[in-house]
Amino acid sequence: METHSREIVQRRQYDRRTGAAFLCLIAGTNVIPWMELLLGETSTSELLAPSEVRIAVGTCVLASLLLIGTWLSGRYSAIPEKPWIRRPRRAGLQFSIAAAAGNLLLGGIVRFLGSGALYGFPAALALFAAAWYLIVLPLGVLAAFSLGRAGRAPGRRKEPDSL
Amino acid sequence: MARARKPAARLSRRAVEAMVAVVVASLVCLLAGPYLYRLYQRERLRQGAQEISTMLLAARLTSLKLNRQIVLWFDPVNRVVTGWADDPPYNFIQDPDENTLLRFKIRSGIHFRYAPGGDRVNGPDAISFDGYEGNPDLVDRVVFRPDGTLFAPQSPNSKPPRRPRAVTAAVPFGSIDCNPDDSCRGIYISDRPDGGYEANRNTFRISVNDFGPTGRVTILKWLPASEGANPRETNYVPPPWKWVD
Repeated sequence: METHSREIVQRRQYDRRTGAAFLCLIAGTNVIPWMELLLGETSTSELLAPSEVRIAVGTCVLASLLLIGTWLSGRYSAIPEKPWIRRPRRAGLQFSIAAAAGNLLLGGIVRFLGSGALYGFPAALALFAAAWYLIVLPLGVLAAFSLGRAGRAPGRRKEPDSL
Repeated sequence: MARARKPAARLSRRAVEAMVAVVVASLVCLLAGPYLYRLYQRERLRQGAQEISTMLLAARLTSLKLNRQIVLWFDPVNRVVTGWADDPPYNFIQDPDENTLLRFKIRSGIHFRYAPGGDRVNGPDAISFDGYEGNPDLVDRVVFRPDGTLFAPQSPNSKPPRRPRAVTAAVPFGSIDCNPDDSCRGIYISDRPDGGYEANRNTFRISVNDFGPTGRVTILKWLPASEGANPRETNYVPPPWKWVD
């Protein structure tokens, strides 16, 4: 009995570490597309407006805070009897990979096309922000919540050999 | 009697959560740092180019407004640009009775340096507006006539640029060719003080009246051969610019 409870504690710690690592992955990749967008703007003769830099950096900071907050809410919120995320560990990993892939894809598109090359920087910023806020950020938030929840309800693993 | 085991020291739940938050924040800073540094370096150079361009425009407008010859002298060592109205005998030197009309301090972090080539910082080609009225000692000054046209410098390094032989995607319309002998006039600023001929550096050329007396001030960026410049040409191109970091 004591061995079993110790196993559960170890699993929870493992899941928390995994959750933290994937949280870092999402927050880290969030920076890439925004910074690529700013760097792309330096290919034109127009200087960057301070507000543009503030928007990009501020978004990265706010997104990180939002992710941490959501992760904490996942850890502390009560688990309903029929949770809408049934396998939080798996869902967390899938959502985080999707969010990171979305960030890298957006960053790649911006780098390849050059920000503002097609429609001008303001239009490119609007398109980019719409894609990021409507797709990537919600995925990241879902991932963070699931990872936080996974720290409380450990996933299914191979049972230890009973003696 | 067995001695009671001391429980292993564990971090509290709050401490772990705080650590996770700190790690996430540190990672974001770690990733954003290099990007922001590159952005800062690029913006500093672009801003320097814009400021010099604005100075040239202001000097030209002053010459038109006052209907007098305006000399804009670049002092690369002290990083100061001074402009004055040149009165007879039009010696291109600021005499005691010629008041300063324009004065501007060049920002730190940008270096007057021609590209390509191993020319040193503040070298003879860094500000190629040299030689007036047969005097080769009159260097580093842009002179506007009372009608706003450029008083052409005469030194061999201050010739007007040529049009590129071929217009390509990398060398679009509005580009120039500084060959032969890398001898076209302009004010050249780089972001790096060191490096030899093939050094990766970003260099802007600010000049006026490239192809005729239009008074147009241009900001062009050096395009290395590896980035698609025309063969046997030294191309400076308009945006979109490619950067080497």
